[in-house]
Amino acid sequence: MLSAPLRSLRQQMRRWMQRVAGPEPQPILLPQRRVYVLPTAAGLGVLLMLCLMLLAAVNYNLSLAYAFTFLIAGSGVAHILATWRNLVGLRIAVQADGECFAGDSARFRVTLDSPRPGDRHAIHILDESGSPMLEADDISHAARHDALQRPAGKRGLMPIGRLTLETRYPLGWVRAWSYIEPDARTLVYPRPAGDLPRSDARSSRGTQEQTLIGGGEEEFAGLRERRPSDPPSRIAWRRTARDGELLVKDFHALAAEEGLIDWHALPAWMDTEARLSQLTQWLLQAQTQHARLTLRLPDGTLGPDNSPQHYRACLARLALFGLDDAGAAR
Amino acid sequence: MTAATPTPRIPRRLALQLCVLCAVCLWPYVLFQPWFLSTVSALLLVWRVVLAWQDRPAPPQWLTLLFGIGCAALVFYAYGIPVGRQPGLSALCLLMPLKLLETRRMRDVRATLLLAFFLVVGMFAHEQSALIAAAAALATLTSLTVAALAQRPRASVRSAVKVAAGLLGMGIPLMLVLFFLFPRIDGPLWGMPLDAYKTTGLSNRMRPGSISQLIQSGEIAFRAAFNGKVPAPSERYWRGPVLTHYDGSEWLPQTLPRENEQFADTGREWQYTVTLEPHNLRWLLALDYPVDSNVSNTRTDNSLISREPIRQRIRYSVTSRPDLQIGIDEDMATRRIAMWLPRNFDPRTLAEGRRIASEYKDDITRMQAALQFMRDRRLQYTLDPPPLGRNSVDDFLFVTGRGFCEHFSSAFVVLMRAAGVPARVVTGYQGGEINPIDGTLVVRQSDAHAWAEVWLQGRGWRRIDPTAASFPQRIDENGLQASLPPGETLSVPFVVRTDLAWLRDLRYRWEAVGNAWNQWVLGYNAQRQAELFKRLGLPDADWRTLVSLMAVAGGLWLGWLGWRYRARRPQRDALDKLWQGFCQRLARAGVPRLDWEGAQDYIRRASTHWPAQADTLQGIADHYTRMRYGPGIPDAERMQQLRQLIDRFRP
Repeated sequence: MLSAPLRSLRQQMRRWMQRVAGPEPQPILLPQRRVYVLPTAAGLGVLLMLCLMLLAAVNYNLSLAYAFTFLIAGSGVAHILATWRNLVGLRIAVQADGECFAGDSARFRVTLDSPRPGDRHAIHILDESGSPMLEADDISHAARHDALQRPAGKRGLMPIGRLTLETRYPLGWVRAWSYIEPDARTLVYPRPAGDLPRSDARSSRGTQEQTLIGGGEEEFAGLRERRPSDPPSRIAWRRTARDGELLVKDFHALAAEEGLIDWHALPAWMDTEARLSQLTQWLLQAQTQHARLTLRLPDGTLGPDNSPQHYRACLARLALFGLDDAGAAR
Repeated sequence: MTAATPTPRIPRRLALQLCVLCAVCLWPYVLFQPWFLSTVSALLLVWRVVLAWQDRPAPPQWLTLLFGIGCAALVFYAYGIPVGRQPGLSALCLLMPLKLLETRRMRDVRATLLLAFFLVVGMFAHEQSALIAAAAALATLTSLTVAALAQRPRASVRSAVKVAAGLLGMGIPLMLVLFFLFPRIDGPLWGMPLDAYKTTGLSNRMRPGSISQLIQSGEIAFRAAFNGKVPAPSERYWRGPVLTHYDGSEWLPQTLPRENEQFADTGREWQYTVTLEPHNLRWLLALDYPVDSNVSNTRTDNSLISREPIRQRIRYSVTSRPDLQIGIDEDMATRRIAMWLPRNFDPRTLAEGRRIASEYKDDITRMQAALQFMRDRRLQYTLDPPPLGRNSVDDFLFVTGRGFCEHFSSAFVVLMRAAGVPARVVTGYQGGEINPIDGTLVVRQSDAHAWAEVWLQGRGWRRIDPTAASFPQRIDENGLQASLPPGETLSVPFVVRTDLAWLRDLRYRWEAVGNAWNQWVLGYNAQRQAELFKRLGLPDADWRTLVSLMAVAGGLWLGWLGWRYRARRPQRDALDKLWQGFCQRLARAGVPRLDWEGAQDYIRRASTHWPAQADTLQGIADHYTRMRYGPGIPDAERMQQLRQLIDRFRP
């Protein structure tokens, strides 16, 4: 393992090599000065072999051995330029592709194209930790789109981070690479977790039934097969008499299923993240029930509403709770 | 930078491609090594192909190791102690298919490629013909192709070949530059194993049968390029080793120290350059009689000798004067050793010599008598003389009567010595033919010859060719073939036969190409490099000059590569053009796009200038961003929509 000062030195080196501070506006067109080339282990092997070949040529005075040693060396130098050029001038843009929950994979979409004629091949994209994300082949003038995934660790706005673009094409003797940090962020919701019961009594099933029967604020939504829990009053007798099958009238509870998810209702021993996880869990459960939901947080209240937009707004609120716009802790 | 990830097993396709590479690299070695080594290499390779074809795993490591030990034993069996390049290369030839057998990961692929490169160069240790060069070029191309395929496994073979050929093509200028400019060093850097060179051609000793064996080879012994007049066929006596000592069965060289001879500056003069094939001995060839040469000292017997054994093709220039009289003031000791005969050999010849000595008083008439005697014996000239006994000269002159030039010259010299005249055997080549294509004189092993020199008072050493005295046609244009008895024609090498005109023409052409190849490619060494720079006007180019020239030429080459690979102006597609046109319109209206501004930022800023049209502007920006970065390729319909949006905007 690298010791801490060495690691920070390496990070500074990378930052310098990236040439642009912080997230960059997109699309990023890789200029010449941002593409670095160094030989790979295979390339050093070839270099060593070329020295041996030259030594044999000198010692045995083999003219053709000289010629072929120089030919392979010349191809190797041409290969350096070819590899470098495989990366220089590549145009790349990264955009978030939907949201995700912490612990899942954050999805991004990368657009690659090459403004110059001629294809580019075998370009690898690696994430900050160096694990491969994508191998892109046949990048031509027409833009191509690929999916990138990164494990989402924490909730909040997750940037794609510093990416390494690298290629060893065509022969693998040298590696050309470049660091980029596209300005692309995706929203990571808190990880849904926790099994505390909801504290708002109204959300329990029993209360709901009472409300339905007593209040009558219901809307006929159709017929469905009877389940043992359905009260007899719901059976559609007329239809059952005709078809011989027990059907019940299904009602959509428009305003009936009201819910409140409240930060303050959680026990005091829970920390912020655990609270957010529990709230997210409840929120997702409520969403499957199309409940009209209110979210109450220390910094405000959302709802009640049961539209998908509302749920997304709630999740975003939970994701960004306590964070500023840049995703940092406030 | 990348974390070590477990590399997967190499795909089947790549394994097969490596097998092809292995076959391409190894086949030329079939020509150079014992057959069973090639067979084992081939079998190992076939096994690998079968495994790859059926996509079966590599054999276990202990089995590969066992095979490795077996292969080492085979090399040991073939060569004894495996030191030197021949056993080393054979071992590599076995190692490559073995390496393929245990190729599991990409690292092994790289190792195989390195082996392939070394085997390419190894071919030239055996032979540097154009055929082998072509084989090496093919192997190099295949290596680079496989390297490219390893980087991009899904690519088609054809595209990978194109990439590899492109890289090689760009490497060729550097190859030429370095080939001619890289400072050449003569001689080996370290001691050579004994097997490095084979001895061919004339030996520096002569026994009955040694030349008639040599003469059946059509190989080229040397070439001579004349500066000016070319001597007539009967004057083309190429002087090689001079043999003075006779032990009854074998002739050996023997010289005594003497002051350098001063030659009178008279008569005709021939200047020429000889390109001598390596023969691993020290003698050089020159026309009678060399007076000046740039490589060696003339020995006291007027032959040229090199300081080192000739282990590579060399070029040297010589000046010869055919009309010179040599050894007029030859000292007593040298004359004495030229009259010495072993005891108890060839009694009948010695008796004949004594008879001549008593009948004729002066050396010239004795010599003529001896030649007349040999003519009278009606000796037969044949490539296939019968075996001779202990008294070989007696047997030749009095029993079999059939022999070749070494028999004639040996018998004549023994006869002359018996008659009291100093005489010695000279071996070398006689004749050669002019290649009409490039005008060089080509001398083959089949032109090997032996003649005699006799020392006459007041005249020095005079050349006498007893073979020519008996068979004058031997030294004519048609030479050897005409002087042989009918029925022996076929044993003369096919290429030397003169009766097929088209064949001769073809041979001339092929050999002219071969000569150019030898002179400029294979024979390009330190000496040739110095000559080239003298001709280019840099007479004293040392390695510093060469290195600076190399740097300049290499820089030019890199410039050329950079120009080829220059970062061309980005080509704009239709969408870009539309967008750029729109940006220019905005710029003319006073709101130019800043370099770092993305489309959305730019439009947001522009909207503050035209708040009334903010919606249109935002529409344009959205449309453009969606087309540029959204999924799919911009199609005509969406392009049209964007164009309409842009038209709607009025700055």
